[in-house]
Amino acid sequence: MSAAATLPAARRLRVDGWALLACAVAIPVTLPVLVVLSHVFAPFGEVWGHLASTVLPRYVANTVWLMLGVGVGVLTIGVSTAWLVTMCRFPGRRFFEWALLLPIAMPAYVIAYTYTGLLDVPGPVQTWLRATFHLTRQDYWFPPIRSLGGAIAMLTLVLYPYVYLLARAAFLNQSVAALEVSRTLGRGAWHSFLHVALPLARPGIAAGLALVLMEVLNDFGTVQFFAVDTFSTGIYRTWLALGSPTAAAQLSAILMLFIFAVLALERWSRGTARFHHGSTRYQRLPSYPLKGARRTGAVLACALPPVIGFGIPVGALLTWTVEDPNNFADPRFLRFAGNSLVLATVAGALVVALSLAVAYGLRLRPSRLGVFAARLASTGYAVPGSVVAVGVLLPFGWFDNALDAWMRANLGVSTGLLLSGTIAAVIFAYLVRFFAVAFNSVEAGFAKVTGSMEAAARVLGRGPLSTLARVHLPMVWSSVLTASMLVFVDVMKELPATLMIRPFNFDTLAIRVYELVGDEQLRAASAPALMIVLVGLMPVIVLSRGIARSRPGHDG
Amino acid sequence: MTAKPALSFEHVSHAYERVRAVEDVSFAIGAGEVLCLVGPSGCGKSTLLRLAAGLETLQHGHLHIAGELAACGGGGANVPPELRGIGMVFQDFALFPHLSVAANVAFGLHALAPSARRARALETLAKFHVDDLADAYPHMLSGGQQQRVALARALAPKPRVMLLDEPFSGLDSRLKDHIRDETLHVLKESGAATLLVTHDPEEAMFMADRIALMRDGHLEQIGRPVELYFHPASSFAASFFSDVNRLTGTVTGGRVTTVFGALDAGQLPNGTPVEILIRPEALHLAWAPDTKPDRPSARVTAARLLGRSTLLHLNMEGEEGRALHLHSRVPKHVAFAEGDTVEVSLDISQAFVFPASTP
Repeated sequence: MSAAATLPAARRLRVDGWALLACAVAIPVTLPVLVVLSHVFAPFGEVWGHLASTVLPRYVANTVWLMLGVGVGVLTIGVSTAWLVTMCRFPGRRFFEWALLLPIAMPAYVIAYTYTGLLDVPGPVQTWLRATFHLTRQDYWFPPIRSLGGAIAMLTLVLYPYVYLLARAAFLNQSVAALEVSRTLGRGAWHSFLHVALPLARPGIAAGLALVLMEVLNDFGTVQFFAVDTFSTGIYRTWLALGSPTAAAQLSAILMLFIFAVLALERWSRGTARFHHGSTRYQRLPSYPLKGARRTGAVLACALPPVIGFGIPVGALLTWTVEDPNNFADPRFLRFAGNSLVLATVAGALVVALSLAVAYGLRLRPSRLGVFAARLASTGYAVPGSVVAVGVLLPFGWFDNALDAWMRANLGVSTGLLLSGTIAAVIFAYLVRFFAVAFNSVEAGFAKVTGSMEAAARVLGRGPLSTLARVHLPMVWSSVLTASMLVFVDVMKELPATLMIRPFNFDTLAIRVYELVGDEQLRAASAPALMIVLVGLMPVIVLSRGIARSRPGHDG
Repeated sequence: MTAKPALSFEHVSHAYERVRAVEDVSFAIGAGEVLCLVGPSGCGKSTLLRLAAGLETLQHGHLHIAGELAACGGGGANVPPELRGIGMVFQDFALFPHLSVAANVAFGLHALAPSARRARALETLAKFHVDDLADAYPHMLSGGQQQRVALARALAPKPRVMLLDEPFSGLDSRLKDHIRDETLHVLKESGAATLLVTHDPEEAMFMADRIALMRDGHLEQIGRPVELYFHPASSFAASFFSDVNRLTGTVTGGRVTTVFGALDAGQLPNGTPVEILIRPEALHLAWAPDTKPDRPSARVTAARLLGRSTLLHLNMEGEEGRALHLHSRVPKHVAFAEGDTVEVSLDISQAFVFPASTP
């Protein structure tokens, strides 16, 4: 046969290689979730019985109250501020548009411990109260910050930007015509908001709320510090203190039920309706100029969330850090920062590289299995860090024990723990948890490369790899950078999975904050916490730049 | 013919999921020949193009490029697109937005020395008179300019086979005529075998040396435009290239009777219900103030000047007293007006008899 006939065989294999790669990434990434879910069918042991009769009702009650409280809180703040900045005119509107995003940079455990430092009995606020009114501790009542209510407040303050962002986008995407029709039919601004704009924006708002509730279920640092027992802290304690992996996995499985409920809620609220506005014309949105008391109210409503959720805690952290310069001189601080940086960089690069490979493999060979695997792998983001940790630790432990047993039986050597408690295990957990972040971003970028561009490159004599390098990568470069940055920041902030999986004596900035705060050394924790917040600001900058050009033909 | 065809399809069939897109199609294109693949949307013409490019994997049949096996159905050989030595122009042009015009055109020139690439790119752009746009980016170009750059990009590596997928459909009609003309000259000069897909019969007749007419995945008829127009193989082929007047009748003794007299029905057996398709320009009109019972005549119900020709709407009495509405197209402007009575005669070389299609 001619050369033409011999070449293709090798090529076909290579294309199949892409599809294989997609599955090879997607399957391990889904493994932890499957491991955890499989424990629903495992026999419920003694530890479980103990848990069920003692703490489980409290976990359920606290988790439900947290979700309800935070849900109401973020909807109130997020939707109202989004409406104000998109539809009304008042001083500082342009500034608030991005300032309202700032609290997203603040991990919940950081704001929780900052406000504890400020509002607790020895904190500056109560000290000032006592000094001013000549009181003693027994003379007055002050709301306890370390409580369920406190946790709701803290989580609401840093999570409302998710709802704000998506509600704002939903309001912006609405056809001006729908609102104008409502006005011409004799309905006022308030009625138009309630009966036209709000229902139209419902899918976006629901998506934001779903993200928030997942973060609530994921939260570990805040509830642990406030001693509000939830599933997240329960899993950690059952794993470490009670030493029962099976019971921890069973708790995780129940927590997954909450996740499924949130996802179902989001699906349901989207319903079967398709909220496409019929018009593609983008006009300046109608804006209601606010006067007098309303104007003051709007400014306050938009100023308070970023001030309380970002300004005050960052100010406190800065003050504490500057007051004690030893914070930075501590050589351990540099080591922890280095650890965090290396972990986040490696994880960011790896996760993005793999999601690129999977996304490109799916484009080359859009097999149903591949698409399904990628979707399944993307659910990792909904899975709380503590659950991911259990799902990673269990199979790695089995593998290590099995290998060790086999090696001792057959070769007479012990391999010990090869995977468990290694940096590789930590990075794998990040891959599981943050794959969706990178994959969605990369896939959205790939949408810019049309099928015919891809075909044109191939017809012009470029193979699949060369096409990826010369067409896809240059076109989606900004998406790739954004994806790496998002993973980088998420890894810097990540607490529960790192805490449970990390090698002995391997600390990151987040772990350092957690440990110092656990020892009540709030001020010493300020430097690493501040650094995490600064890193967390990076996505805010990108988001606010996106906001500036989110509306074609709209200069506002 | 001694030279091997530049591109040949042999018994090619292809299906998506369960839907047959192409059914047992065979034809070949010689070097320097322009073959237009026409047919209504969904007839499988784009699938053939993608099969030729290697963008779809051939399921059944064989595909040869320049005499070499490029693809063989049933999991056989399948040369990937990048090794087929073809040029392709896409409907949406598919210019790379991150590359300048010159870099777009040089994209397929990696076989050349780096120093020679830009020169070749500029040289090819010059053929389309757009070499002054070399350093512009695609988003800065008009539709016509993008189309020229896309053509230049496909032609720059000097492919043996050019594949064009509805290349003019995105352009407005005035521009289209001009670019078609320019494209035809450059394609002919390049010597590449060209397979052009279009749904526009006029475009096919303008561009093609030969036309392959597709319908529901199979090849309905292939030949020179003249053959397809004057000797259509089916009523579908006859009606694809112009609007037609349709009469019905029944075969008696190898002939079918119409208001215009008996027409030859070929080999069709007695009693076959038939359709008679008459092109509007086959109905010749003459001024006839008085109707003669033995000559077919009609009343003009509307006359519309269409530029180079005039379309007349006619009412006449057909077989067994049924009312007929016919169109006649006559060159230039004619003085017939609404209400006039005209004598109608038929040019039988442009009247076609086919068995009535079962609905």
